[in-house]
Amino acid sequence: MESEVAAAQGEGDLLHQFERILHDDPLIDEVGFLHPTQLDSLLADGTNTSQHFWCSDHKLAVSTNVLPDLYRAARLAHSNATLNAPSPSPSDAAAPLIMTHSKALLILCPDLLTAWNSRKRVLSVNCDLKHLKDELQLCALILSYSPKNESTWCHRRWVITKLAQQIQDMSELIDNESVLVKQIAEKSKMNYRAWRHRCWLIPFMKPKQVLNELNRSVKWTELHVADNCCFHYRRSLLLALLDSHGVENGKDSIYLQSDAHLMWKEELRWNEMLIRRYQGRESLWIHRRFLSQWWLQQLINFEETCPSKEEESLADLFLAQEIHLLSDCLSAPGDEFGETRVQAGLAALYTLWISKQDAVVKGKVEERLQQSVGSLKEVLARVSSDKSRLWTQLLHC
Amino acid sequence: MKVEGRIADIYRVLFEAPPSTKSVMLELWRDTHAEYLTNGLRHLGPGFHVLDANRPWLCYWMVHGLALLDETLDDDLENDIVDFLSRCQDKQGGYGGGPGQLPHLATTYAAVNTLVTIGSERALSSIKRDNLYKFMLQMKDKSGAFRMHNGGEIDVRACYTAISVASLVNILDADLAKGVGNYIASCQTYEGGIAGEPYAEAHGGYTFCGLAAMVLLNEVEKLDLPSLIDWVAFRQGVECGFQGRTNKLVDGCYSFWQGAAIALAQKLMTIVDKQSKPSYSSKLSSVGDACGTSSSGLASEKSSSLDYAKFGFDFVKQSNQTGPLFHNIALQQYILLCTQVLEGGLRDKPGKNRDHYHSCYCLSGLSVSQYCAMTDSDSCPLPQHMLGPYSNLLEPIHPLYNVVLDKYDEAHDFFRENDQTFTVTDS
Repeated sequence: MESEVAAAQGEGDLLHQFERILHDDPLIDEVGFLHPTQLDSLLADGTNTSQHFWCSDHKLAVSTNVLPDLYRAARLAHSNATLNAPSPSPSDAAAPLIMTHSKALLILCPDLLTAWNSRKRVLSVNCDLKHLKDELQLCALILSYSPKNESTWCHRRWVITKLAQQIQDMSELIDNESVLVKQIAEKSKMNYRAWRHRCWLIPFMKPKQVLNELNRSVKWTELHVADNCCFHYRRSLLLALLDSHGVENGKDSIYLQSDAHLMWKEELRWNEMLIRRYQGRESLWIHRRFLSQWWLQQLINFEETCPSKEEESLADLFLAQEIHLLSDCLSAPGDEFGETRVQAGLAALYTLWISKQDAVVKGKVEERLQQSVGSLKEVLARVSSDKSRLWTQLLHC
Repeated sequence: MKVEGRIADIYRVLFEAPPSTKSVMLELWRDTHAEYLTNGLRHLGPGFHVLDANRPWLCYWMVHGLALLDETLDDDLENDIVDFLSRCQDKQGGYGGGPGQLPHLATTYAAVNTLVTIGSERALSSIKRDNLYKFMLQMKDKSGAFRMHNGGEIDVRACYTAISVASLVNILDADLAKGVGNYIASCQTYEGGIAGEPYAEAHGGYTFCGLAAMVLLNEVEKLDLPSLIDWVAFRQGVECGFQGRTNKLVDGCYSFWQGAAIALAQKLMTIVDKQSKPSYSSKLSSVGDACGTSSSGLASEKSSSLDYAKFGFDFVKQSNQTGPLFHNIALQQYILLCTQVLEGGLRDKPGKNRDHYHSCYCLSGLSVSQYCAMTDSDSCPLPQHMLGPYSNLLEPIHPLYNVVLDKYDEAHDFFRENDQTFTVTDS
């Protein structure tokens, strides 16, 4: 019995030390869990009093051998704090305890929704700006070592929603969030949750910010052409652009000269340039599917409102270009990595995909194909024979 | 490129090996995996504190993995697990990540699936169905979709876990089912796959969740199946395993998420054919409107006497209407050669460590690829459908719930018989 009491006391001390460090340095932005031997080499400089924790320059290290005890103590403390606090509105006395213990707990186990929810309860009662910004700090800290943690992202969004109720101009906040996601995406490639968060911010953006984001992220995207997430983000931005320009610019829209149209045209040109430069990148082709779909629809609508006297409509010209791209891809010489072969397959599938958008388009595509590289079926058989059962089904119309 | 290179090396060794070595290389190391999983059930190291909010998942990954390997647990261990899960059950319904934690749909799914896999009367009767029903109703949003937990976000995974559990324990009714189908349909992206929520990126895990939930609701016609199949098929790459999203690396767990999704499609070909015809109104006819208009599903939403549990039951008894739409042998090759770890357990890909999650889902994916070439779900695969010795054969699963088929049948009968004791009291 005595040893149990002593053990509990020991754990309590540990927790106390841990929480003390967190309290003394509210700007900690990185946490690491180190093996005791690794920690020893850090402690060698002698400025720390504890043998289990090290903190300097806003970086915190915790020894792995105390984790089970520390965690247990934190859970116990947190349970006690929440049990004694009437929900849903914890009293002024209980609130700080809940916040301190839940912070310690969440750094050790960010999935613990019970802890996140206890923080939400406290913040719902007292949500001044400073406290909310502290929450963002805590989330950023956890994301620094657990960038895919869903509960943390979720909590972050809850905080931002609360901030949006109080702040008039969200643009600076949104900018900061965008930068945070970019940093996280750099270290943790194609992080679904991070990118999803960035897309989630879009409805908070004004049209000008949307355009800015599109322009600012071009360079980054060019360096990460295999990253489907950043293209998906661009698509979400483009869609937001469409929404905001939907009702205005009536005349410009008809003549395909609105901001959205100009942006789209540029995006198509840029996408083609990337496709030609970086062979075999599926994300580029998927992006092209998205772009073509809306663009073709616009060209066809334009044709209906202002029929051209030329032999070939704008839609015809566009499709001619796409077929030209396909034929270039099909006739490229092989390379040692097999990428031109992949490129040819992707190009063929892209063509199949656009031909299925519309019966009219299908006819035009088939016609042009016959004139240059052969029917779609023949092309697919040549470049994608291993998936023949699949595309036979899809061609089946 | 590095991963591709590593895997290419592994395959090259296989192709150049003499037949006797080949069959040894392609063996599933049943005993070592069983040991890894059983040991995990007894004791986990201190590093596992990060999974403290996920303990029912740990139970499910290990218990299901063992069931696939046709291993039985000791009665003591089974009873311990049932007791533990009962302590995770919240007094007001649903299961949390551990005793005293908030109930959550995902941990509920894991707990219920574990109890069904254990399958004893004690295990099945420990599920408090009336409270579970009330909990689910609380998690239902007015849009029809589900949130994972109180104050949580809404997404496709929450919808799937809710519908799967409700269907499995026979509490799925029109009130729970209302609106879910439309929400999931709105999450299908123009790429063809399904995202976690509307306007997000298509993702293998959510694609499985969305498709399976729609089948259980009998509203699968609301999805654009040809696009979906197209997207999933292309997630199988040169390494023979599946990737989770466009341009991501291959990952063993997607053997199940993507493999099962496309295997489900084999039973949906009549709908696929209908949707492929040009006369069928195009679902994604306008950019940004991923929901689109669709022909109504077979389920009529006003009929409250619809027997939802039957959809799950009937589906698995249906025959496959076509052969595999993915390379099932290649997938087996990836799993057997690249995900098995010598010391037991399975992993994401060469270079990564083993873990229980991947052990569970790689084995589940292996089972799917072994059985998908047969016309009937429970007939034994022929040797040509399997890679490696016939001893590699795992137990068949019910692909909608991911529990072993025999256990599903037992649970199905149990929850039907005990229907009289289940009453919904007004809160």
